[in-house]
Amino acid sequence: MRKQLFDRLATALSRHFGVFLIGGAGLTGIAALVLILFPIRIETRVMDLVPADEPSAQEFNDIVRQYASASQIIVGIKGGDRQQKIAFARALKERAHEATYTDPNGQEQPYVKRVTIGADTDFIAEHGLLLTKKRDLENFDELFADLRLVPLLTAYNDFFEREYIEDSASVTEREKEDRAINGLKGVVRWLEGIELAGRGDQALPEYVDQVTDLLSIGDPYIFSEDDQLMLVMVQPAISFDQMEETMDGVRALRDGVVADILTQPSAGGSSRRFADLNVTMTGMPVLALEEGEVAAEDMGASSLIALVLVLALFVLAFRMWTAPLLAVLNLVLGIFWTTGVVALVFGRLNLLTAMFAVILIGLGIDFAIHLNAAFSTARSEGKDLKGSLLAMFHHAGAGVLTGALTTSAAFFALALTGLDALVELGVTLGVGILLTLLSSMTVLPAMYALHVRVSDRLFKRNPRAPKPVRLTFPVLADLGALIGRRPWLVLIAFLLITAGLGTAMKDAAFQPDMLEIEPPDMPSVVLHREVLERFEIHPDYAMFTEKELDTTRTAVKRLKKNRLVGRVDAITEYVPSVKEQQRRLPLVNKMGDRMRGVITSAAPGTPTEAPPAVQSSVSAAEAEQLLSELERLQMNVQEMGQLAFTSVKKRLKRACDRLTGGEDPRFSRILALKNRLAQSDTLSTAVGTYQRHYLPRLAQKLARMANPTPITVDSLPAKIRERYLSDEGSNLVTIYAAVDLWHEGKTELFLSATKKASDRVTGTAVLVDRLIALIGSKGLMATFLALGTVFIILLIDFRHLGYAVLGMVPLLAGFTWMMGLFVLLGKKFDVINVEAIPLILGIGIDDAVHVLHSIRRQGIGQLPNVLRHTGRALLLTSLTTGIAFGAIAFSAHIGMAGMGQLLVLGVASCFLSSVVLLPALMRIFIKDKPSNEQGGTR
Amino acid sequence: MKSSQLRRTTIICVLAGLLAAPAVMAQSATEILQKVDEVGRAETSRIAFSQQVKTPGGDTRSFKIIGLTGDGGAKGLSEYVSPNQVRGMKILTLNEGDDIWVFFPRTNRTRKIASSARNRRVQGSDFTYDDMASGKLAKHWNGRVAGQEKINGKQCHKLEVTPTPSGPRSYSKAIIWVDTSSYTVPRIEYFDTDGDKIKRLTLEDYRSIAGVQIPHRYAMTNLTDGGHTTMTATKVEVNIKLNARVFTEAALGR
Repeated sequence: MRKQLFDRLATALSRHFGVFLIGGAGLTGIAALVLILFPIRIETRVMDLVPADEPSAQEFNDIVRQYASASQIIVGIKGGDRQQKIAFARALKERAHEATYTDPNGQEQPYVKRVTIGADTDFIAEHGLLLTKKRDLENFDELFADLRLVPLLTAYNDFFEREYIEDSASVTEREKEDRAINGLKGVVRWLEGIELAGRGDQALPEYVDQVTDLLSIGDPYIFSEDDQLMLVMVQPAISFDQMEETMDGVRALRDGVVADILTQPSAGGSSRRFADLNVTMTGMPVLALEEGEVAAEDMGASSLIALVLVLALFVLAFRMWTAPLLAVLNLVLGIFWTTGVVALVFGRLNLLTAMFAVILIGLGIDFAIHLNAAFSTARSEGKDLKGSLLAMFHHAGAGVLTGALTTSAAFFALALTGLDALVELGVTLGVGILLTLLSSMTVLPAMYALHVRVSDRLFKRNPRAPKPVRLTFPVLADLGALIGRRPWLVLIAFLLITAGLGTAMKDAAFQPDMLEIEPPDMPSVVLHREVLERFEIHPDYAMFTEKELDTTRTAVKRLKKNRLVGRVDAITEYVPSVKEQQRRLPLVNKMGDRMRGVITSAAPGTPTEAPPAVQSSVSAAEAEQLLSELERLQMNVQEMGQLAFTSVKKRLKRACDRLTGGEDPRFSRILALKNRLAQSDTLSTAVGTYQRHYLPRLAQKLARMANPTPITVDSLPAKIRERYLSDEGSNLVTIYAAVDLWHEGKTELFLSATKKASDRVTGTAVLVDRLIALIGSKGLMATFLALGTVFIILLIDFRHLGYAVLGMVPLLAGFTWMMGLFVLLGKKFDVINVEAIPLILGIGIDDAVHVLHSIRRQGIGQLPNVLRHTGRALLLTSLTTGIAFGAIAFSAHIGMAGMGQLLVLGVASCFLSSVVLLPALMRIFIKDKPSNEQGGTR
Repeated sequence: MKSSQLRRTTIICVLAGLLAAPAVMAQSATEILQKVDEVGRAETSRIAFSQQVKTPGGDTRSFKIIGLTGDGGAKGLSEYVSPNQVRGMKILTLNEGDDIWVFFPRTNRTRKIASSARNRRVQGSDFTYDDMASGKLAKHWNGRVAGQEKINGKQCHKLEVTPTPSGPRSYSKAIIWVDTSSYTVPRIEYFDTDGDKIKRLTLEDYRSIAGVQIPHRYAMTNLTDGGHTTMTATKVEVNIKLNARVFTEAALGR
């Protein structure tokens, strides 16, 4: 039947090759039309691999739709000094509206809804005391009993001793560690203001404004503890599921607004205003944009490199130009048609399918190599067009057809796993192989025919004989001879190596950290890592929604107790329960009354003066006490640093060491200040002047914070409500881990803690964990399906159980080599590269099939001959396939690169096992009797 | 007595005896814990040990510490020997952990730790001051014998216990496994007030030092966050002569 099909095809092609060419052009036109009508999207987020019908994925998408804050962008500002960073942040806030996206109606819309350059300081400045726990309020009451400099510093020292040394065990709590860091930073900056006052510095009023903020509401900006990194939060106006608009908007923000501010000239115009700053962005939308850009770049570059290298090898091997060019054209057609089908069926390329073109180049070129070899040989033997086409199909057609069908069937088997990502991969590659086969069997021979006709006319029926294939690899024939003489020796040696590599497989490790498989230099990934390092906040998070605020409060309280939790972001942080507010109110009123009593005006922004009791010069005794309290502060911070060391609180330890000099007090910022002040002749006046400046501002701010008005959800500012509340009234809770979630089993513990808070928890941490579980189970299923499919096709092809089993042996051995070598190279498996495992089963079987056919046809006694010809063809096709996969192996995306590396190892391993192990086995187990099989060139 | 009557009486007596036997033979949880206290009791001790703390984030800190106990464990003094950053730092616990002082050699100051710290971590480890406060198990826990289980191949009593008023405040319940033959404790699991299992203490490498059973390796694992602390004894002396003044606040700075 196959013979009849090939005969008819050859006849039709020789008579009507134009029809085939027109048919090919027609299919290409249809594919182009499809791509215009249904443009293909590139969705290369790892999250896109999670099945949309997964409950956690549905919950995630619901939250992303309802709460724009769920897809917040983080802008990281580094370099320069603190003031420069703040100035940049302000400029960004002013100009963020310039970042726009194009809506479906073609209208430009602002992408940014809000830029938050600090904590919600306005609200805290108004209600800070009512938001403070009763125990902390009691501390504040003692701390701010007397705002004059020396009494206040004494109270701070008492407070540090009481809170952070005598109750040091509680510093293991995250919030308390944060407060300690901010408190220390604020107090030292406040004390350093004495020198400004002593100098009569013009900047004193602004400085006073900043330090009184630090002492009352804390740092109004989000800075790392060493002020090296500032974070700014950008809330998009659209939800993340509007993917194209989001990508538009992020691009406009990054390449438009941020880039423009960075290139602004300074006031003098001679240099750039923010030349010292380095600004990058991260967050889900930015990661998605950059992943897409890298994937597109990788895809284009890999495909081009693969095409060029494969073409070069083709030219080198066959010493001709036209055939390789036609082969490349044939590949381009196959890829283009496949893209059309993918656009129509799936509408997108995901992280796994993005590289389909390169895989098709590697596999599809083999078809052209075999067909061209047979066609050229027939032409060189003087056959006419029809005869050459007949010879081509009879010699190479069966091998190409069987190989293609086996590979595509193994790929299609992936669709049976039911996991969207694997279904798309299986169908895309399966269809791709079939369409490339179709083009190779119809359009490519038609192009050969056209070429023959044209050259016949040009060279007047004197066809030029093709040159013989240059790459002959005589070592293959020697190998065949060795296997023929010493099959047991070869078998044992091969099996020993295989056993060794199989043993190495037990050290196989899985990389669950998605950041580790992203391109490591991608700015969003770098910033992600810095946020984890400096803020001890892991970018992956869990989130859930709740209806009742009280339930949220209980969950938040419970979550905060867990050391794995770095931050819990919930509306309840801004709305204490009525009972809590009532408990705090007397202390809030007491402090408010006291603060209002020491100033002339409590209204924010209005001028106020220090009471007459605050003198403009302090006594010598007080100045002396100040110096002694500075020494006490040094000791307190040293002790806090020691406790932070034993408690492994790195951020607090760094903060303490920066102030005390750590191991070497000569570098102490506190002692340096003390020494400078001790040498000052005007210390008493400086302290007096300074306290007359800051005291009324601090009292005014504390009075403002002592607002006794009850806080309710309705009284919250809109920007806070929008962040946490949905239209249906649910509130969003987001939980960030404090540790690297993806190491040492922390994911399970973190998710177990979050699931205790809510059984509907979702978020990137949950989805990635689910994806890993799915990839594990479905990947295993895909592997078995591919193996089963390959075995069934071998059974159908050979109609002999023994040959089918023999065909599987080199495949399994090659598979073991691939896995073992990958592990020995120190590589880890991940959710992307693991997909190479079922793929290699479909790809690697081809070599065994061709060797089996060839030995059956020629007889086991002809091993040197089999390996000289079939082995050479297999080496050539393995090289072309390996080159194509090798192009992926150099992708910037670690996951994709790993997939390429695994495939290269797999192709090489399956080639070796097919030309070494399989002939040795057949030499031992098969009688030397050639069958009457007809077949391909290989 | 007729033979049938005699038979009936005999059966009743045998049954009664069988039913009464376990009550007579079985030990209560308190009795078992008293026995544990007995075999592990040392009036004084001096133990050099190394402590390794692994945080949930995977950071580790190693310390060498010398620990002294007095009054059968009611008093304790730990001194950090290394690393340099904390060398000479001392923690004194009196009254079974009710009173705690810390001495800082760098500033030469002694600080009393708030009594509320009892249920908090000792220097970032996975032990709380409650866990570290030595004392008698029978005094701080009571409960019931829940059965027998094998731990590390050894038959153990499984005791389900709750803290007594003088017991630890960090936990609502614990399960203590006691070796039925040696009366040593290979494992304790602790539960929080929500009833969730939160920590597991394993005690290994028991050696008899001057007739006292001393575990040479403790490991406390926090089951909620993965934190892990191990303490390995390198030199153990028991019932040695210690000056009572060692366990005073005044002696800390010397």
